[in-house]
Amino acid sequence: MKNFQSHLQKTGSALLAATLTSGCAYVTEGTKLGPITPPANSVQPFVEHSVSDFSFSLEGGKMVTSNFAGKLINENVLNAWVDRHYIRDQEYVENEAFTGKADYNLTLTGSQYGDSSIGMQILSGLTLFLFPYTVTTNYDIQFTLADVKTGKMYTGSVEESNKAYVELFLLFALPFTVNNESAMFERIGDHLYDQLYRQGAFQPVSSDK
Amino acid sequence: MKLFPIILLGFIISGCSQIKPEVEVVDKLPQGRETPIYVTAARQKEECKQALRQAGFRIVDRIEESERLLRVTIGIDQDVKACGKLNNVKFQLRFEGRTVAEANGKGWTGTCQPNILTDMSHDLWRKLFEAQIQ
Repeated sequence: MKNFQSHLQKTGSALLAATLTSGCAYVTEGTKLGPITPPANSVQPFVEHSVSDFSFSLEGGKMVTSNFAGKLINENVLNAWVDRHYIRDQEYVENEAFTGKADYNLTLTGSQYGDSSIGMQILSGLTLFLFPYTVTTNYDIQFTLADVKTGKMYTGSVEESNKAYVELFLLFALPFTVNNESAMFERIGDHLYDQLYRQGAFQPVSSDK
Repeated sequence: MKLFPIILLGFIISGCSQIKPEVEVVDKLPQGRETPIYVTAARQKEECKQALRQAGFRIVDRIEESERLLRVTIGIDQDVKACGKLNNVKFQLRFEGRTVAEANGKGWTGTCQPNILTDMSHDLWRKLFEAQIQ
C-alpha cells in the first residue's frame, strides 16, 4: 500500500513538473550519469529533508520558485530511495526545521538552470504550440546528510542534464516523459546514495563504537 | 531618420559585446584569502572552479568543508565560437542564506581569451581582499 502511495506521489510530482515545465513535452532521460548499483543495506532509516540554498533559473521567465523546484528534486530522489528500499520513508520539512524524530536529516543545496531560446518560445506561443521549442535543464545537486543520533555529516554531489521538447502533440508522449524523468531521478538517487553510503551513512552502528 | 541605423547598430554592437564586470561586496570573508568556498554551477562548473582557483580563491570540492557557497549562473548562449560561448554571468557569494558579495558581467566563456569567468574571478578577488593587500 505504501509502495503504491509512493508510486502515486512520484508519478504525480513528475506529472506536475512536466506540466509546469511545458504542458506538452517529451523529456529525455538525462545524459551525464551512468547506471550503477549501490551496495545493499540492512537498515532502512526514516529521512526528513529540506531545501537550503537552492536556485532555479529558467531563461524566458520563472515558472516555479527555487524552493519549490528544490522540493520537487528532493521528493523525486527520495521517493526513488523508498521504492528501491534504501530508506523506509521520507518527509519534507520547511526551512530546515527538522523535528529530530528522523534517523537522518537531509538538506539540498545547489543550482538548476533551464536553457531555452526565448525567440523560439514566443514563436511556439504564437503558433499555439504547433511550432516546437526545447528546454535543456542542467542540475548541480548537493545533499548534506546529518545522522540525528551521532551528529555525523555526510555529503554527496551530482551533475545531470536533460532536454525537454515542447510541442502541442507531444501530449501523447507524457507516459514516456514520466518514465524518463523517473529513470533520471532514480539514477541521480543511486549516485547520491552510493556516495553517502560509502562515507558510512545508512549503515548499522557497530557496538564497539 | 538618418540616426536610426546608427542607433540600431549601437544596440546590436552593445548586445554582442563584453560588459565589464561590476562587483559589490557587502561582507568581507572572515578568514581572508584562506576562506574555503564551495562552488555550485549548473553550467561550466569545472571552468568556473578553475578560473576562481587561478584568481587565488581557496575552492574546495566538498560542501561540508565550507560555510560559503559561490553560486555561478551562466545565462543563455548569445553567440558561439569554437572556444566557447557569449554569456551573461553572475557570481553570488552566499552565507547563511544571504548574498554577501555579487559580481555581474558579460563576455566569452569556455576557453576563449579574454574570458569573462577569469576577469570576474580576478575582480571579485580584488574587491574582497583589496583592503588586506594595501
